Amino acid sequence: MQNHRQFKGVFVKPGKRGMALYTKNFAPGIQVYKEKLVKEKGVEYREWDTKRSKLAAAIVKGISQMGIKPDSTVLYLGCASGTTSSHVSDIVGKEGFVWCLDFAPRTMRDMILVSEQRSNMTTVMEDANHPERYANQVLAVDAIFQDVAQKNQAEIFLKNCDMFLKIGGFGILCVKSRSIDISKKPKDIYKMVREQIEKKLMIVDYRELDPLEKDHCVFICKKK
Amino acid sequence: MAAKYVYTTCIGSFALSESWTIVDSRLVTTREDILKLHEAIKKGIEPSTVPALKKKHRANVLANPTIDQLTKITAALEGAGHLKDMRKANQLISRESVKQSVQDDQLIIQAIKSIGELDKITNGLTKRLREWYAYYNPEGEKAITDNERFCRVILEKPKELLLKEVKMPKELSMGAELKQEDVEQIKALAVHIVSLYDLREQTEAYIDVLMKKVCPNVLYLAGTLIGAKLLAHAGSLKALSEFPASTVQLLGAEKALFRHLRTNAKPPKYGVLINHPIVASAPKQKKGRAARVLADKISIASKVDYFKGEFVADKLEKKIKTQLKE
Repeated sequence: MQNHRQFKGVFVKPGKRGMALYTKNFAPGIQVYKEKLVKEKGVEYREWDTKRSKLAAAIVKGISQMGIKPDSTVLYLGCASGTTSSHVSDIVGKEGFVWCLDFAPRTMRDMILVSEQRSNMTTVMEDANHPERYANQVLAVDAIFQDVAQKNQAEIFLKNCDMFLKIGGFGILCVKSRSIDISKKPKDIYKMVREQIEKKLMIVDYRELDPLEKDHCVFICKKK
Repeated sequence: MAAKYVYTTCIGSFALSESWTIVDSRLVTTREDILKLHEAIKKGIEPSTVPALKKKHRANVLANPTIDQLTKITAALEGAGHLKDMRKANQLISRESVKQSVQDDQLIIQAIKSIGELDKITNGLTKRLREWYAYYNPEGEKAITDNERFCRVILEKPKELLLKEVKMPKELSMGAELKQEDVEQIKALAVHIVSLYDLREQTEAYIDVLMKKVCPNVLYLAGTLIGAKLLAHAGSLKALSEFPASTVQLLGAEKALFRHLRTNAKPPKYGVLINHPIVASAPKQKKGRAARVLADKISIASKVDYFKGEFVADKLEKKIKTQLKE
């Protein structure tokens, strides 16, 4: 197991299909989504599936920064059942914290159980479109990660970054083009989202996630 | 130090100085108090933790902090070790939210989906039962075409009676003369299949009772099974009520719809509604129109039901009948 060349808290190991990503299990012995657990020199690592996690896909696609590192506090919008957010929890570690938000009760039920096994996670069952509704349940964060399948994804992202992202913090936006407009070309939608975000944030990196995630892209932004 | 601001979080209120240090606080620690505070904040009522701090420190409530202010507040709270308190409070609030989110329409949807699965399972098991029973009484097996009736009848009537009913003399039958234990084994399977058929019937009755409570208008117009299937496709009564009538018309025909949208295929005319008596009994050329008119009124019914209006379904049905007579 080796450290990832770019990101602290992320590890790589050669596997069957090239290099696989891993994070150190913050809740040793517990699998969140039937991922592979690997023990090396007394430390347990969880395999990070790049086909299931957009953040992992973005990392293997070569993003240069992400803003999520050990000790970071992160607001995770659209955590669903906790597949990706559990890896964020692994990365930020004991001194970091992940506020996990999702609106759907069924997935939140699973998410709550995941977060109860990790002291650096908590859950908020609210609509990310209305940050004023949960403003008193969260604090300012070093990074915001958003993966919500809504038509006004960009607007939601900017609203939350405005209210909760510290100056100098990183905002990671996963864009699902089919949720915005099923009939337009993904590249046109990415361009539209870029124009929306540029007005308020500085875009420091961008990757299209094909073939790992079809018709998805990710923007890495910094708040000045 | 003098306090300038009062800021409230889900764990209570803090009095903060001009340099953003915590001067005082009123915190809630019990589950009851945490949930009460959360309710008050949601309703926009001033939380009970605020007045004392406001008065004692003559400080003002900070309602919508700028990000700079929130960053300073965050540093103060995290520094004082309150992150774990906020985690605990959010946990309790989330658990309560999930608990409150279970509605009757979701129970209807689980029940109708279980009927779908029961149908598949009873079909499969009955095929097996037929194969197995046919060694014993092939002529009898062939004679009963309806699956449910077959399972029930072979438990009620002995082989001799069934052979007599199809006018087959016992000696000429191709069926083997199995031992008592072997026949009992076949019947044991039949007993369990019959209990699944009974369960399906009882589940349909349960859905009917629930729908009378939750969506009487949709129930009246669409019927138990079709109404429940529409709910299942929509995901909730709220979602169903928000769909345009054109969507209601095509619920269940998603494969055909997207095929039409993506290729040059012709559009579907109906989905789940195809089995509704009004659509089924319409002449072929008028089925599409019947489905459209029916979907329009079901859509209205779902909105009335979601907003808990009166019973208007009979009037809606009359309109359908008048429209389709032309």
